[in-house]
Amino acid sequence: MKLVGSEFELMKTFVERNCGIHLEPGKEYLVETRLADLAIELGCRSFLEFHSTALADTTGKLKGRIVDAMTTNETYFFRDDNFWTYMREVGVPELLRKAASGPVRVWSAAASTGQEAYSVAMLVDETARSMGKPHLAGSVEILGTDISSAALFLAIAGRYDGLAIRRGLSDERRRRYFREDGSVWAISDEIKSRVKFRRFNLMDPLGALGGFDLVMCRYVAIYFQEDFKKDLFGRIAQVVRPGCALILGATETLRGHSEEFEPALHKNCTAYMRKTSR
Amino acid sequence: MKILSIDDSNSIRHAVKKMLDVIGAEFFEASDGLEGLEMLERSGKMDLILLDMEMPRMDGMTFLETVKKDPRWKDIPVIILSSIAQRERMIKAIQEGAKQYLTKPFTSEQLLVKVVEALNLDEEIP
Ligand SMILES: C[S@@+](CC[C@H](N)C(=O)[O-])C[C@H]1O[C@@H](n2cnc3c(N)ncnc32)[C@H](O)[C@@H]1O
Repeated sequence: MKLVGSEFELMKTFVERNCGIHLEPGKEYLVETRLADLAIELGCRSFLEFHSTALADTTGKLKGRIVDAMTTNETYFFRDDNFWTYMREVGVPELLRKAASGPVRVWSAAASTGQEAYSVAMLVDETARSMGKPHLAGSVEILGTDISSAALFLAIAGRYDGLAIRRGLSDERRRRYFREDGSVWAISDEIKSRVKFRRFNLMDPLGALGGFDLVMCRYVAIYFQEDFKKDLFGRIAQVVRPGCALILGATETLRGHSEEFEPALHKNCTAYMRKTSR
Repeated sequence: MKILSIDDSNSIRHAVKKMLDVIGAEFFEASDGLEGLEMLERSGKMDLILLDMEMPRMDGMTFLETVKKDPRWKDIPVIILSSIAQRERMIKAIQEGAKQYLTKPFTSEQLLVKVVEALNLDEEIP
């Protein structure tokens, strides 16, 4: 099998257009290796053949596998202290205040194996209890989406090994919200019932997802090209309700990518608030 | 769900077992290809085989060739877990019928994603 350079270009364009993943010049070798490994696993003899296989895949599953091969699913519970301080002090109390008069919706836009979405569910539960209104937690609907169906399978299973469970989770939360099953920890049914997962490619139109009162789009746009980031944040602006927050990863910024949000600093966390009028 | 891990390293088999607990798989193990074949005879059809390449007595490639010739076992998906990231070898293993190839060391997420894909567990994801 010979992997020809121009065929690689073809594949690179496919990956950028369909998965958003930007292949930086200089990192091409690494990417070429990983894509070639996937092509081989699929039994393709060339990138050309891989390209036609990818084009023919109408299920979208192969795109997920391409992303799995080229990015990491790395995530953990309560990732970034500053963000969770914001959530505890501002984000979640605000959600619960609104929940008193009807359901509110939260979106984890690159949910990976579920830790981010479940962290929100745990914090919502804790906060609602401490307000003496535990029933309000049930009115906060949490949606986790990802392009990787394998990652989502694990998210839905809600089972974590010793290593994953120690990353970011206090003993108290672990005892309260997880059940021990051999060497594995399984999220409680109650928390699980408050989080829904589905496969979604951020390259696709967001309209079908509906509006949200809080959106987390963390550590996924880092893989995307500048143009696509702009486009994505512009589309996200359409689903974040006016006055509601969009949160990015601690190392990411909306600067230069969207005019439709106003940055608000809470301690060391920047929340991007959707402007009410444009 | 029955998964057979064939690896001459005790510690790798142990680590793999822990990783697979996450998906609640029933775990079987063997320390080389011959023991792997015995295990198949004894414990019946597996849903997945995780196969090391470099092993004494019978190496992974020979095991793979043997299993793929046997009508009883040939449909069992095989994931190669090898410490050697060699293109030629990977191509050979895939041509011999292995489904996937993962290079050691790997994280539990990397292994689980491959296992979920190999077993098509994610077929029903909405
Ligand atoms: C590093 S994880 C981020 C997990 C989590 N948000 C966090 O901050 O811990 C990145 C995830 O983005 C997903 N991803 C990459 N490209 C995507 C796309 N085009 N659409 C949806 N998800 C994508 C990957 O599958 C991966 O699970």
